Amino acid sequence: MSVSVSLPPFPSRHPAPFAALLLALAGWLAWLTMAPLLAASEPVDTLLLMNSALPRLAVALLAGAALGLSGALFQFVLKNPLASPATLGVSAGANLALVVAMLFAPALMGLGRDVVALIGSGIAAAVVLRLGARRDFSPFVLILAGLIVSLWCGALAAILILMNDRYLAGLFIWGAGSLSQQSWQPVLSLAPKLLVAAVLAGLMLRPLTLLEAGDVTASSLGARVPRLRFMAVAIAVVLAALVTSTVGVIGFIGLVAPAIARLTGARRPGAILLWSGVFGAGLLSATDGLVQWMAGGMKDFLPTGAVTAVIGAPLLLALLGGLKARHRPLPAARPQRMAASVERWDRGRWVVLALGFLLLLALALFVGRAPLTGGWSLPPFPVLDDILALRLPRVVAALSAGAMLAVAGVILQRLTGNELASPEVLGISAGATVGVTVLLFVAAVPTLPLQLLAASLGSLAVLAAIFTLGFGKRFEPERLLMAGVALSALVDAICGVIAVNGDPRAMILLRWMSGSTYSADLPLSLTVLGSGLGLAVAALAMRRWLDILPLGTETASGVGIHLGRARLLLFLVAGILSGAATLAAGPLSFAGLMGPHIARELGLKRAGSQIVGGALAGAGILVLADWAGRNLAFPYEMPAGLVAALIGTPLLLALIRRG
Amino acid sequence: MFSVSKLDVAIAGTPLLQDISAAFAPGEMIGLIGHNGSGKSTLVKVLAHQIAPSGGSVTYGGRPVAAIDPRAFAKEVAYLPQHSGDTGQMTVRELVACGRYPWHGALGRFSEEDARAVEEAMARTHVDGLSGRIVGTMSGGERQRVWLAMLVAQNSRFLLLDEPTSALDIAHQVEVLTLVRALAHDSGLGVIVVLHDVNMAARFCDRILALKGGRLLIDAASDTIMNRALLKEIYGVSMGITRHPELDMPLAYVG
Repeated sequence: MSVSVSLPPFPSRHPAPFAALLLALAGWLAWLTMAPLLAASEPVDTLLLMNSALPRLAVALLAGAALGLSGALFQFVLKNPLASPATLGVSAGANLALVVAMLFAPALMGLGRDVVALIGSGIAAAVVLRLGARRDFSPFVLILAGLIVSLWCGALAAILILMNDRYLAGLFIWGAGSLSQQSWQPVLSLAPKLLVAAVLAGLMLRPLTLLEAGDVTASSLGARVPRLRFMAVAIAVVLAALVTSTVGVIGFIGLVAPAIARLTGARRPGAILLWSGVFGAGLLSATDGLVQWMAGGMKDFLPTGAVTAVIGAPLLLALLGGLKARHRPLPAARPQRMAASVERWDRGRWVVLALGFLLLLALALFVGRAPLTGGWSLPPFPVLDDILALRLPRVVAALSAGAMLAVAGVILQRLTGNELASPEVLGISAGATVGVTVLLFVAAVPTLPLQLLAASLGSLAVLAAIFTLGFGKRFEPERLLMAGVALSALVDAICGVIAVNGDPRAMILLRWMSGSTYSADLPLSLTVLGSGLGLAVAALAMRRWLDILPLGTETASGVGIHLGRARLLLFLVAGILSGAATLAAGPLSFAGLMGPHIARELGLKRAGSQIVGGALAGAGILVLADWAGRNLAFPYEMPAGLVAALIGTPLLLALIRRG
Repeated sequence: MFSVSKLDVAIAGTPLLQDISAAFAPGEMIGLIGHNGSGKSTLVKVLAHQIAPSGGSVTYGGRPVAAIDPRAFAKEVAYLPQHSGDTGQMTVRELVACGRYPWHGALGRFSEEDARAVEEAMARTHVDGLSGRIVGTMSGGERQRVWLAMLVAQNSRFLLLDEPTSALDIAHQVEVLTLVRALAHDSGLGVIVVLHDVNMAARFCDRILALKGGRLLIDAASDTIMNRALLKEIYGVSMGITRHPELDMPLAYVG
């Protein structure tokens, strides 16, 4: 049982004053936008007030309350302080369903946006929870599965938007969570549905209370625990889907509102649900008020959902410390599946692996679609040089990025003793993205070395943040993950804000984030390859540390490893590897998570061989993804990073499922 | 009225319990003993309808347990798992009040009778002075009494306790077992309790069931259990028996 010592022996605080403060702030911010409309006598101002400003405030209050309640329900039944519509992938699922329906089956929208959103979020929730159920609802597995499903849905939605950008600019703004309103109609349609869901949630209070005493106790008291959990999750999913279909994806409210409710003293399920709703309403309306006040004329285009992420991410990072008392003890480390014998990799198998890899390279370089007919072909010799000149840089870029991410993944997993750590998951790739984004806006000419520097600095900054903010003290997997989730969301939000403002640099950024190797030229590829090789050799040189560190700090220092120095060096190498690789393949590819896993599944368990095998696997994945992206949807191109994410995600979920 | 017959339990093909038949009556305190892995906890879990048997039957009042509505069953049989859940920030009274769930259900009113049962249960287990405390901040012995209070508030006819004393020091063990024994003898509850310590079992229980390797070895009055040959058979180590220096009862020791 993990009960922190800081828990007071008697209940103390009450959330009411905090809620009043927040709502007062929201009211004041709303007043700032509405006062000029009230003061003006023009009829158009009255119209704006009645049909835009007031309904917008109402939608913010309703959506916020619904998200807070939804998050609280998820957190309660899953016993997981980090559960929320956003972290479980429910909102992203609804969003993807709406994008798909709008593009491919507009007729479906006739059924109603709510239904489409509900289908999407229902599927996402089912995938995540099924995975979770197989692993005893381990909070960690749930959040990871949610993160992966979220990223996958986001990646697919992004591809669709990229390929249909003419039609979907508006959808993009909406997808990022815009509260802009033109009438009372959405409010009037949303309110009764939310009320029904909230009342149903209220009716379940008492059985939910039992869950707090543990599943076994609850069922021995006569509660039907699986049914109860299903119903509560269903209500939470419906709440989130209704909100998403009305105003798009709004992150963090569902995560942060229940956390604030608990931290300010709401204790019982009833109080937590109630105050989560209140804080959710307050948080979203205050954020929206802030957005309107700051954005002025742009307010209809600046998505509040993106801004909640910008505000919510740091808030979440700050809250992570205080949430400790609620953490359910993680199940003891799973027994590793023991290999029947020690590594049996002889030279023969390495040769097979290397040959397979070379074959893949040959495929990527020589097989492609003919320009005019679209048929598959091997290029004839006279033009071989020209074609290679086009394909080689991309293949090299994909190859080195995949390999580097995988090596970084091996290092991070061994360093944190966490099998699911990787540059993507921990937000280190997101850090690289921020670095490059900043560079795009600061430097007149973002040269290649500058980009490399900016990306590396960005990833190192995130790594440093993770390890100094205390998340890494004992490498609690949940905290590490949440830090990653928060940072990735932050980056997404920043890019979303830039994208909807129509800045020309946004398209560069969006393409880059999707992991396209399209712009890779030979200098870039060779730079990345060169730095990758150098760093991989450095990582190999440190393989002994990587073998010993997972045994624990006592053992490691016991055998004489200088812990501080070893960690620092490994961080540096992992950070630069992630930064440079992200430069070539974007932040989304998951090669850094899949490479090490594939190597382990192949039986490569020592650090040295895992580095080599993982690098080959990671490189293979990205080369294949790049090739598939170039050819499958010919003459269109899909970015390699997104393709890798699309192929890799189901693979990853299968790995988690097997555990 | 509460019985198992020809009970088999297997999980993933591994038999945990084989051919167990026994009957339990109210007013009696029954100890389940046996070596680690002998199937004590499994038997209690089957009785509590937490796991389903793979063969044989568990019946309560003549009806198969599986056919009884969970809430109705909870009014009859209360179960304390070996590892209780994380109580979060619940107070003592709130946790004890959970024991009233089978009576008022999800939507029913929390009646004065419910309130009275909670107060009585807390008084009975001597946690009434702690009613506003947060359970998670209490010591192991106090916490165990609070959980017992929840079971008492449940007002059932049977109590199933899976190693209620394993985390307690000797004084608290005696306190908890005395309380449980009073519940059986004074209030007429049927108590089935898993115990590790054979001396505690012999001293507090009326009847003892000893399991070995998933089979029922002995089902007998507790004073007959203190027998060198039997103890050797149950635990697989040689044990001696001596007399309690003050009380008129036998004591087992590892010889």
